[in-house]
Amino acid sequence: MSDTPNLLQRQAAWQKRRAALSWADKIRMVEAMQRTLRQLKNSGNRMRASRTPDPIKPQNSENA
Amino acid sequence: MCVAGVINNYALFGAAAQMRYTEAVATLDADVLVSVAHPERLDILAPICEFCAAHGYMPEGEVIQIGSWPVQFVPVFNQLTREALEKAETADFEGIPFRVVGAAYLAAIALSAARAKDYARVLALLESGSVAPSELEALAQRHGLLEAWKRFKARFLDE
Repeated sequence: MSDTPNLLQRQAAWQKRRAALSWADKIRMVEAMQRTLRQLKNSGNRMRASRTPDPIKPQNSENA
Repeated sequence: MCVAGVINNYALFGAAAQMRYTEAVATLDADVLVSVAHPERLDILAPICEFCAAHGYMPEGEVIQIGSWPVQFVPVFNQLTREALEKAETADFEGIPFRVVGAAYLAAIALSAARAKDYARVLALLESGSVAPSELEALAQRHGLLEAWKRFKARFLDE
């Protein structure tokens, strides 16, 4: 038998508990999310920069 | 800023204020409603920017970076926001008193903004029980938002 109704009830209870956290705790959660987003953005920028060929550096070592 | 006479009053609104009543929601900035000392100025936010810069908080485009938060100062722009600011509550943020727009006004301002994320805010505030539909309807009626409220209600509540 499916446990889905129980799972949904547990999820709803968990969400209610999160809403009952103090305002300061919720603000700290958002600050943690912001830090994570910044890190993801920075790592994405670094990855893009490493993929972009350097226009000055020769791409073919035989030409170097 | 109030003491220095740069602004007359302030209150946090938007997502950061909404979180007093609902679950934490992802937001990148903090919105602060302000009534300024000289609303007739064309560069209405200049005194705020100058005050913040003098205290080491530099403007970056539309926002002022304060700690980890980009903060957007929004001067009151209609009767609804003026009233929201006047009737804002003083919340306690870990011992620090902080003026915050109340739940009903947060919902009404979101209703007037009418973007998808604003509708989600109205729903979250209603579901949290911090504002009753009848309270929001009365506020909407007083501020010319009755049609917007009816559309919202038909779309999201009257299923």
